[in-house]
Amino acid sequence: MKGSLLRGFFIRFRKMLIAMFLIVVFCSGVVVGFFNTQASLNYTVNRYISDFNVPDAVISTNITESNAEETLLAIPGIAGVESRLTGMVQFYASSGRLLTAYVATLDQEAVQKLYSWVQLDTPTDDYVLIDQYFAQQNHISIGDEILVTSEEEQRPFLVAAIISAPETLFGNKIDGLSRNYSDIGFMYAPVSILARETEKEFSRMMAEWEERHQEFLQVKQEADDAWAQGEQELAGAQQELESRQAEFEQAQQELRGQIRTLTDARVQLMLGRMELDEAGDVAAEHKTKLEEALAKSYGQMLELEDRQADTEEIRNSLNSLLVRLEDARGRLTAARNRLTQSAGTLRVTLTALQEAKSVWDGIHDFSGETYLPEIVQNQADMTVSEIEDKLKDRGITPESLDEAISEVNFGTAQLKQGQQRIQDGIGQISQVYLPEVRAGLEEAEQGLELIALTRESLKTGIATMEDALQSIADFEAQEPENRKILEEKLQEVEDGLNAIYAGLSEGETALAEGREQLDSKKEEALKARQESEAALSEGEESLNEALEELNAWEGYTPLRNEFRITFEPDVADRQAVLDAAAAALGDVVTDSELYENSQLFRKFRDILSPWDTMTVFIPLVILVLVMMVIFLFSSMIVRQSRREIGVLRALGFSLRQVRGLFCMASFLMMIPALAAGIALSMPIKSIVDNAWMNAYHLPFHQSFFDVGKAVLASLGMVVASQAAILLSTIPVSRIQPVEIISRQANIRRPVSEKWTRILRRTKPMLKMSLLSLMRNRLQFFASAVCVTASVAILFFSMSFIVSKDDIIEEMFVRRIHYDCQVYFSAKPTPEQEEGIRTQSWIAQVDSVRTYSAEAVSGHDSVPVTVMALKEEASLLSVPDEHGRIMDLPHEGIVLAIDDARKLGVQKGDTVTIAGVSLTVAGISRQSGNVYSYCSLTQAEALGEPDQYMWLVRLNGDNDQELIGWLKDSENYIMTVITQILSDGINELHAPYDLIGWLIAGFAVVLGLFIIVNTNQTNLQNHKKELSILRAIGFQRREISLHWFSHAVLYFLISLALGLPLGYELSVITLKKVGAASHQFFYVSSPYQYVMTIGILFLFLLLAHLLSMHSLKKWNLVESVRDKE
Amino acid sequence: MGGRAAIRENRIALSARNLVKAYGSDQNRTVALNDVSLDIRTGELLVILGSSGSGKSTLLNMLGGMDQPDSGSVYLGGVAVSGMSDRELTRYRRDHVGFVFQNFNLIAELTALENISLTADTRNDPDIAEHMLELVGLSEKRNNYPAQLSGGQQQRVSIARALAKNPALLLCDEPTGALDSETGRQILIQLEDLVRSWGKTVVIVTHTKEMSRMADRIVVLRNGSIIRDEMNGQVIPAREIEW
Repeated sequence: MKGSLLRGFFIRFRKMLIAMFLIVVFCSGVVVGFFNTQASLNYTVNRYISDFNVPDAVISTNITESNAEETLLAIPGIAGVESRLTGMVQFYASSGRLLTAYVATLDQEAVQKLYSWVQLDTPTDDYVLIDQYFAQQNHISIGDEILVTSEEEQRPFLVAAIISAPETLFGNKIDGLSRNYSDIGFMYAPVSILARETEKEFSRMMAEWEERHQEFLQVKQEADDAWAQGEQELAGAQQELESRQAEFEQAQQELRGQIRTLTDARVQLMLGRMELDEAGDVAAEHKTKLEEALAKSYGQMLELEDRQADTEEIRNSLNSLLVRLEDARGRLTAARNRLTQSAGTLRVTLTALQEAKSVWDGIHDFSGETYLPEIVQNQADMTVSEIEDKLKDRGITPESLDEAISEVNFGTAQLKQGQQRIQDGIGQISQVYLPEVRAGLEEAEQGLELIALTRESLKTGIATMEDALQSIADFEAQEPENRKILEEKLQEVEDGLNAIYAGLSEGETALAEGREQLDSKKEEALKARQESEAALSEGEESLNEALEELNAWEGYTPLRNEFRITFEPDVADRQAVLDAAAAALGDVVTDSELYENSQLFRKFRDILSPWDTMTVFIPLVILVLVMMVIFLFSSMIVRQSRREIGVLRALGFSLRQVRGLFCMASFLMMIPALAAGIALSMPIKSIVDNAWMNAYHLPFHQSFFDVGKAVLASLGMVVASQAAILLSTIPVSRIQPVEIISRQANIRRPVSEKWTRILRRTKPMLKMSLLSLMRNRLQFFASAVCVTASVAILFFSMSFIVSKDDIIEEMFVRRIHYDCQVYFSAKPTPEQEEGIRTQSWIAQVDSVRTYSAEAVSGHDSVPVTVMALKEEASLLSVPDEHGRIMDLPHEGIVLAIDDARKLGVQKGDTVTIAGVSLTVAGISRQSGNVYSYCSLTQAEALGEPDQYMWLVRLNGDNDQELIGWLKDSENYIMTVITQILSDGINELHAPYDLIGWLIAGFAVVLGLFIIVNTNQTNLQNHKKELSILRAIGFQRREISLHWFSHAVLYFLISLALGLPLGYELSVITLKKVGAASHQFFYVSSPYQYVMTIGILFLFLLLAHLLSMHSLKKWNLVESVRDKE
Repeated sequence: MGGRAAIRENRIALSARNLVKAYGSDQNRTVALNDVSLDIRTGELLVILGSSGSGKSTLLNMLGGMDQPDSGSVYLGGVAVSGMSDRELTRYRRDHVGFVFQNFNLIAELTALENISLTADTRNDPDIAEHMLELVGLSEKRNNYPAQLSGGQQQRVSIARALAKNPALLLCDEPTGALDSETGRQILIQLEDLVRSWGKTVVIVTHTKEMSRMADRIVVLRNGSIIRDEMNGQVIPAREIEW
């Protein structure tokens, strides 16, 4: 069932499937071709570098010793060294032209390796392998005989091979050579070609040998003399040692007596020390006891003093009490007396009062002393009533008088009592207290006396103990000193003994050392002699060997003057290692060079880089394109199969089964397509390979087919196609069986209101086109994308073809273009300057000067070579930091980036060169042997140039005329043909041309295919309506116009999208490519746009014509009846 | 307009002579028309009856210039249609033939009015499209798209389109085939009204007998041959038909 379904499917959609098949074949061919070219290129480049033994650096010397290799291998960072002989020869080509070649000699093994790159017969012994470019320039072919000239003879050599030598590809100079020479080239040859030079070298080496031999004999004699002298010295030393031994033994004997004396003294002193120790112990014991007793006595003394103080205090108290008692008695006595007086007073008072009273009782004439107031006293003049009045005025009444009398009586009684008491007190004091106090005083006095006696006793005892302690203290004070004296004496004795022993020991040691030294010297002397004899023997052997080699020197194989170095992978600063290696070899070094500094070397390595980019980028683009195309076709097939799908679904086929059918069909188509594509990739690969190899002058490519990548590309295609198929079958799920198999009129889904409103006033035919586009948006989008991609790729391909030419045009036509560089050893004479410009074959001559100077900035300096050019010169092959070719600045200097870094300067800074301050006007990224650049005007201040040069543009291929004109000039050195620079760049970019054409071809084929099929598909989709129009009377012409406008819409949209996309693709890719060459930059040409649009319009017309041709074939009846 | 008067006048509008049409290759050859000859009078409403595969549609397509016979000829006003070039045939279809299709075949992206305007003959009446739309009773649907019209409405627009060019001949290929019976009946009534009033020569192909009641003449096809030709109720044997 499935088989028949598939068969039906293939039959029905055979045209579309064939178209898909062809696309897949073509695309897979291109992709696999790209992949394999990359693999082949990688393989070839690496194989070339290996077989041709491309080193990391080369040191050229004028030496021939092979042990220079060992010297170089000893330098850290150097992994390997190979050496060979090189030199220059002149020869006549078969054309009669005299040419010069730099020769690198090879052994048979190396030659065989190179021969694997070319298919040749086994060479004779006298053969050369000439560099391809040199041979091409001078019309030298394989099988030619060249005559190598030396001083008096010419020797024939056969040109056995023409190869692409890395020395000319990679080396910036080979003894001052470059690829730019036409009459100076490079070749490989056997050593015998340099016979004359090697003979000279042989003589020199013989002379060197003789010199070494003489030196050897001299050294040998010196060695013998030195040994004899040494033996004498040793004998002398032996004698001296023995005499010292005898002296020592005598001294030893004398010292033994001293030892005995000192030993006795030591014993005595040690005994004295023991006694001193014992006395110390006893004194300490006594001291302890005395101190205890003394402490006790002090305690007692203190107690006594306290008691004495207390007793004295008691005594004093008693004395004081006695005094107070007597005093009290006295006061009491006085008080008694006062009381007595008072009593008398009271009596008087009483009398007065009684008198006063009597006054009241009657008046009395009294005189004397009374208590009455003076009024009474002055009674003589007064009456009694007057006296009574006055007494009343004074408060003196009978009542008051009575009261006063009573009080006086009371007072008198009291007084008497007081008197009695005082008397009693006085009695007690006198009889009791005073006697007791006195008794106490007496006891106190007695106690004080006793205390005084006791204290005296104690004082005496204390004094005695203190004396004893003092004695002990004195003893103790004295003891350290005594001990010290004793110890000192003991130490003296010890020291004395030690000194004697030490002296004896030293003497023995010295003697032993002397013996050892003597033995050691003897051994050393013996060893030195042996070594010397061995070295002499070796030297003699080496000389004999060298002599043997020299005598056996037929092939001159020991000669080496070029050392090809391979660095360790992890070396950071290769230049430093190279410098160290050159320094290690010394003055014999004539040149040293890092190959990697060569721009060409980098380009050679870097051809893989842009290729790698393109090998990822372009296949990816192609893959996407294939995916889109397959999606497009598949969508068409699905659309046209709607009915069948509906039927299958109605019959019970699941969605997966339906999709699987499509995927299976695609897969069955893909497999043979991929196989055919892989087969197609071979010639594509071959074409591209050859282009690359020719561009880089590789002899031929080692064909390499990367099966893995082919499988990967194929898998990618299959995956992409299956993905596209699956995507295109998404609408299958929306197909309802009943809708499809129903005979109801299929009404298209309505157009959106928005668009019908917008296009309301549009002409019906145009409106029909636009609305049908809206209806089939997905298909339109897919078609537009495919066409857009075609536009983009076509535009992109034009970039490779068109822009590259514009760049070269820009580099070599807009800028000054020179054919030759002429080198002078001295300034060209005015006659030369004038004469050259009058030659008919000269178009232009410009002068150049080079100066060697020191560039200084701050404390840093670096040697630079300045090239001075005329003002408007352009600096070819000198890129700035952006990779663009630089123009010569009017002022200032352009420094190389390495020099700028060493000086620590940037653009705008100032450097001093030959005493002249110059602004750094630019920094170039030129590598290798780089120049600094400035204008001739600026350079005038730099003094006398080192070299003079002309840049010459010729009117035609007249370089030989130029050389002929200059040949006999004394100051002429050589001419370098530079026109090949542009040729070289052209060749370098030939592969890009090829790629561009390939991509263009691919874009044209694909674009044409896509546009035609898109048109056809759209036509099919509009078959019914176009048929209706035909049926109702529209002519084919009218429909053609309508349909063309439909197609133009696609075209315009695709252009609008595709041109910017193509532009971006171009910029991105060419930048990547240009990054490797440092000279590429994107130039967008109007021609590019014209070509792209023109080609696409042609496609459109072609597609339209094909569509209209199809239209003619429609069966109107069937088309009108066709269900949508 | 001519109408039945023209028929009475017996003027031949279109005639077919010895039409033969076959499809397929030798082993699978199918003869759709087998030496069919037919005259159609001006103003006549001819119904061609036949079962599916009888050749009726093929005959109609020959008459309408949509297809060319393997042998035989079609004449319009004495001019042979069969030998015309594609351009002449297209002009013939545009100027002289109005087609009404079973599936309407309107342009989906154009409104009803625009569909009618496509080939309208505006020489005598610039607004003929409007008028035709009015005639079929769909003036209010002038700005509707076919998807917005019912089947009957679409067929009416199709009829209006066919008549808008004022053709000499109106060919209808199963005009009610895609409609339900009631709608179909209404369409037929309207169609009859229009063509009778305009006096058009009409050929209608159908496989249903209901349409025959409106016909002036009925031709029955079977296996590519006319087996019965009936006019005004009288059967005209094929062999008696004078050419």
